[in-house]
Amino acid sequence: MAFTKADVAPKNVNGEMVELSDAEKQSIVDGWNNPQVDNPGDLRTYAEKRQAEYPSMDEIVVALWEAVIEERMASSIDLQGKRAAVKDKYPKP
Amino acid sequence: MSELKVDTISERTAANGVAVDGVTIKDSGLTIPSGGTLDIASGATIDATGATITGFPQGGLQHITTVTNTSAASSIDVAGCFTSTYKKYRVVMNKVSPVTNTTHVYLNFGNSDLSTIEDAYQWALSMYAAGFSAENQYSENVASGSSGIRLATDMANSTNYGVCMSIDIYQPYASDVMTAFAGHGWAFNNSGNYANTYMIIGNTMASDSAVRSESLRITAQTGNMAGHAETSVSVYGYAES
Repeated sequence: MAFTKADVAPKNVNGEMVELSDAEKQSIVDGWNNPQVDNPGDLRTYAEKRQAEYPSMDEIVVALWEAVIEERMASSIDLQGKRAAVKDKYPKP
Repeated sequence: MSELKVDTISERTAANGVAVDGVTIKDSGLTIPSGGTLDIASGATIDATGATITGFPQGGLQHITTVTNTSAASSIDVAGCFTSTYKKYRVVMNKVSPVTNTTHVYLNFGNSDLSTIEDAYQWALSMYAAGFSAENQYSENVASGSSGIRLATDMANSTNYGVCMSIDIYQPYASDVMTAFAGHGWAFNNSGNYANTYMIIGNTMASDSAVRSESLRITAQTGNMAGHAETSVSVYGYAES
């Protein structure tokens, strides 16, 4: 059922019924017809947030292999930059 | 028995007043001496309306206002109830119910005339149901856009099931700290068909923007708040001395 402005009763202010303007009624009707859902926000810990965005273990193993065995440092340097950026994004509290 | 009828008794010397069987009347004051008793007989009334009362212990809950709601209202507002007089307040709701069946009931804080409504909250609501049915937790953590602090979930629209809840409010009037709150109460989750205990905690998130809470507003997620003879919202201040 869609609400209309006619459905909006006056507001009770300290026991006195106060008529609302058309704009106020429309705002209330809009809210009733499109009720917001609760937004629990991001409740993860900083460690959980970091973990979710760090490079994968596969990427790290490959980068380490390239650095240690093949003596190619590019991937490990790139990964270190990504890890540092994640740490900066989610600092320890 | 003798009787003395006069219009005025004045002190003979300015320093002493008038003594009547040990009680001194002087300069518009009445002094009961040490060890004496001021005995108010049963059925008598002490009327101190408008008087300044000193010396009596006055700590504890002080009634500020009670707002009743006997007809449908888009919101139940208690405007200007939080002031600098007290740091801590208690809000007591009795049989507060929505017109629409199975909808949430919200509490919001606002400025003195509620022209500005807070929309940044962190709150958590736990629901414990008789029969352990439909127990749940709800929460919100947003910097803007909140509908308000949820007091009851899927509330039934019967007066018999209205929200009965007490919430303590901590430093709502302070402009340099967030408003914190914690409370508990009874409501009826229409989806669970059980009476429920609710526990609510939370705070505004306005601590960095110097917003004080001076008023509160109760609304339904959808539809008006119902009017009933028993519906009321009372606000008390915690006096510390």
